[in-house]
Amino acid sequence: MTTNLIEFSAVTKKFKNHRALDSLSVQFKKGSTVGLLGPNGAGKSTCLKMMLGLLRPTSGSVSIFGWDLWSEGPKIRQQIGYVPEDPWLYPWMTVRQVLQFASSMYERWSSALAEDLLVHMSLPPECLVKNLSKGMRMKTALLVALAHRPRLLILDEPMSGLDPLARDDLVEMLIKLRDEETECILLSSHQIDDVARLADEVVILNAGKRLVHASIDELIGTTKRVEAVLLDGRLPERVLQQTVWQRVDRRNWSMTLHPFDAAMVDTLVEANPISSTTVVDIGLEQIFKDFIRGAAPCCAP
Amino acid sequence: MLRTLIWKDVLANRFQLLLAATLLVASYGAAATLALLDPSQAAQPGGRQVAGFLLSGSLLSHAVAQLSLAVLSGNLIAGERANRSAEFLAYLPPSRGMVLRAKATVLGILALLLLLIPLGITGLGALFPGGLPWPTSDRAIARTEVFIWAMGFCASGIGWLASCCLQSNAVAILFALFSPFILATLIRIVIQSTESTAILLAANFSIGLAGFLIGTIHYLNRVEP
Repeated sequence: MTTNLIEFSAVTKKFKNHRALDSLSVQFKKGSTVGLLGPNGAGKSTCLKMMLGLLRPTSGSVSIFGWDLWSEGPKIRQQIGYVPEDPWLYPWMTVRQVLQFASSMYERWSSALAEDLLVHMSLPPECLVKNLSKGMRMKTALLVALAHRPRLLILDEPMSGLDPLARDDLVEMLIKLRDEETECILLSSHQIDDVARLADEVVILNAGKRLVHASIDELIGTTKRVEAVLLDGRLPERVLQQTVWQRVDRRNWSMTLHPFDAAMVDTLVEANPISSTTVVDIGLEQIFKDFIRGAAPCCAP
Repeated sequence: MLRTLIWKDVLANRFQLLLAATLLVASYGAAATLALLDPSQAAQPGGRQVAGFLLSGSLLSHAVAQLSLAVLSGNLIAGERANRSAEFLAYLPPSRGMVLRAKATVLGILALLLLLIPLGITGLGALFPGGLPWPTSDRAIARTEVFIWAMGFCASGIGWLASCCLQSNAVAILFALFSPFILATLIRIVIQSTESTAILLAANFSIGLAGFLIGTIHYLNRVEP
């Protein structure tokens, strides 16, 4: 039996002439917390919206919990908690009315949990949604997403609009949730340090394509920055193939290699009269930037 | 779940429902004012006067009910799109069919209320001494009633279709309000004969029905909220 909770098979999504997703194939397993990273327009939100059936692929297929998204939409949404980047709730409802409304939509809704979260998030129950700040609306949407104990939690830029304290609270809450019953958490964010704290694997998307999908530990372990002074100024083919990004300043070469292995440095030394070489560990944020910069046509290796 | 959706749709369209209630009451207010100003009414016995006023009020209320129904049908779906709450509803579990069923129920209940309440009030006229019950002898009134409801059905169908397709509830409501008049003008231009009334009646019903059907099919098949 498959342990894949979510499966994208060669999914392409076109908006007129723009390809938001380009033959994307990716699987997310049960028990994983996945950070979806990418620059603006990389296809993160498209990808997340597709999981809820809010967008239909131009080609390819999406299955969630092993079910077809189009024939089992309501059943799938019953088990998904979703917080969009910009949550639009009913502006004329109070926070409590939103909860009452949502409670009758979900079979697994827990009123006790909703009340706990309401207090924990310091949400004013009798306040109209239209009078809430974006951060408060985000918290209300999060409450709705969590109170039915979803199997899959999808968060699209959940940290945006939150103050640093609320952000910390949210991260703590998600860590707790990850350790409890939610089978998979998917979050897209530009706050890479938060993703690094929360997620155990990342998918880096760029221009609708998957650049990398790996566990964070593995990615950090197998991606290194090599700083070298190359007198010859040519990279051997083997090194070139593994170069994610490079910058050359006269004879000073800076390159990010993935997957890195120590033998590459030997190859580099053999091929070039090198005066110095250093291997530097880099963090997730730098890895992300290098993958994106490297994928851009202007600086592709 | 359906009951909650209906509750939500009633609250989301409370201004439109309030407008319907106001127009209903205002119709009888207008009929009463006209009755007081009409000297021929004053000569009638008291019971008949009351029955006549109730009948006029009911006829007027049936006419303005079509406005209320057109406004509601134009707002029901596009209104949620305009304030973007449709996006919230879209990722909740209810199916499109259920969402639409709730909206159709609200529209249907309002239509029934706007039809039956004035009929009931007209019936009250029979209770007054000398008052007449529904004037069955007057076929012209019945024909007018059918024509009014046909125009209303057309307006609501077009409003429903526009609401299913458009982002703006204001535009959907305008479509609903003007479509029967545009249709009437077109038919009068094309068919310049005494038969045009029957054709107009059939056209109103057909276009209304087509609006409801096409709108429903479009909404059930569209992916975006």
